[in-house]
Amino acid sequence: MSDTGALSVTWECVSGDAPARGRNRFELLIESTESGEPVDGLSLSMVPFMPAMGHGSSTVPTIAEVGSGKYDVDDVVLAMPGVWELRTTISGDEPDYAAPRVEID
Amino acid sequence: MTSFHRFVLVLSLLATACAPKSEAKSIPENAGIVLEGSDGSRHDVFGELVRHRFTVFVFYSEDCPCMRAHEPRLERVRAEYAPRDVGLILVNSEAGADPERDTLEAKRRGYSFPLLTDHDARLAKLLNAEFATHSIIVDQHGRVRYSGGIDSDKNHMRPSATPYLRHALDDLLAGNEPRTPDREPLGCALRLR
Amino acid sequence: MGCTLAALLDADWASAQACCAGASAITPARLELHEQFLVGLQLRAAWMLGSYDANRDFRNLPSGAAQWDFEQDAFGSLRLLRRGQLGLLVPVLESWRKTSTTGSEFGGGLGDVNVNARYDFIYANELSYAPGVALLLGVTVPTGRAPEAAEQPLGSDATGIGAFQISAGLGLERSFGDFLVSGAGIFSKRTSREVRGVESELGAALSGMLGLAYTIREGTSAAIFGTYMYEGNASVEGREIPNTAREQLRLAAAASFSILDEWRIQGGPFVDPPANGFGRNQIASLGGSFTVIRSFL
Repeated sequence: MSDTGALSVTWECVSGDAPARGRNRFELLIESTESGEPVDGLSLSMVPFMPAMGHGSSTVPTIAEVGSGKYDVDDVVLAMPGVWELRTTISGDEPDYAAPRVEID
Repeated sequence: MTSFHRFVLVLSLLATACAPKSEAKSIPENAGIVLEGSDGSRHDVFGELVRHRFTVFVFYSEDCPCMRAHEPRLERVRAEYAPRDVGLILVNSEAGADPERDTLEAKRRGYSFPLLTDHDARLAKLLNAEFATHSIIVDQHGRVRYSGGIDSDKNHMRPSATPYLRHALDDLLAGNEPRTPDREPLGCALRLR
Repeated sequence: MGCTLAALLDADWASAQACCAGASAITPARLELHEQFLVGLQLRAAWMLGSYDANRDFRNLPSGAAQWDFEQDAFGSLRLLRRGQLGLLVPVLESWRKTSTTGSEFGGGLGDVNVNARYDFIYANELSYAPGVALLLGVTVPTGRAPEAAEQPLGSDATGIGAFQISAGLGLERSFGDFLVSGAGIFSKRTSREVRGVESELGAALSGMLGLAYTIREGTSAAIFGTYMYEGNASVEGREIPNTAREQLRLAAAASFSILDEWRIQGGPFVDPPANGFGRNQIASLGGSFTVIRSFL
């Protein structure tokens, strides 16, 4: 759920069965919580962050819109085991923010 | 001593921890400090001084490795300087020191010099002795002529060590002031309280 | 014995984790009585066993993953006042890491420099009814490479935590014949930092150490000890993040041998128990250290 509650943000790891230590690739699915419809045309930026360690990632992920509410996020480098936040800033007509969590072994 | 008094003592110790230490200059004739032997004998410190031209007080700690390491050298000092009218007394000023135990320990270690108990650390406090192996040469008039370590070694005995105590005795017996009148003793902290 | 335990206080509890650690011990090299100055070199190596998650469950490394961390610390301590000492520690870190997805990588560099101080209000044997009491202080400066500045995908060239850290605590010691019991409690706090526009601050940390040393003979001693670290939840953008607290228990053993009055060597193994309940949000390692010290009386 995004900060405003207007969007539902879920992720799927496409670089493997599960997120792993190292370089990952995700696909974000963004849908309207009100209508359930996928939301296209958003401008996204992501900062992977590890709150327990207080540090981020060495790279800035690249994000490309796929369509049908899907956004391909590549170069998500998660260097340490533990919980990471994929802190995503959503720009557009209605700015928003979401930070789905990912756990790495 | 009550817990409160101990607390105040600890606080005062903390408060004065930075204060520079002053060196004792002499043992007054009327100091009234008495050292005890295991047979109950009582040795007035000033009375001991007049028995020799110079008296060496060496402060002792049973558990200190530096003390044990220096025992052979102390024995040689006693053997070589006794004929030259120098007395050597080991002093146990530590809290809880027991004359009987000290005598047994001295016998076990084969000491040829007396190990006497300084109750309440009166002599240690007068002479500002803080560490084991602290050696203080006092003349017949009670004046402190040397205060420091036995030599420059700590735990490992080396032939090349500088023998500060011997140098001081040689200088004094020759009628000169010690070339090194004071030198930090390299021993464990004494438990005086 | 005190020096053995003091060297063992050089644990990673005050650092982020092995990948980002600048050695940030409070007193990595403690001056013995009568020592005026010392310099030393410590070598450490650690093999990562796995990690503890937020529920304190231990997780083995995934298949195909491995991590080795190495550290070389150059340090010195200088006597100040009669009972004080000031120290400096300069760490150099290297790390070799491998995962099944990225392959292997190796990196390293200068870590976070530490300045530390100790003041012995009471020596261990000074009072018959009280232990030795020492004040311990330390500041770690972010001279290392922060994780975000790493160029390697697994962060093997990250060598610092990217923030200042201040630590203060008390050390207590008491000897019983040939045995020495030593304990320390230390409070640590890191400054906040901004990571790509995200402001974060780690929680305050409390660490405790308890050790027992035994003098085998003059100049030779052995010790066992444990350290436990607890760090509160982190805050991000001013909000406390639940389940981000960190904990770690480390067990170690060491021996110290005095070659001469001016030279001593120390070293031993350490382990973070690879089982549930012994850590949280931390990695677990098995390793060892070896230290050479030259002192000046």
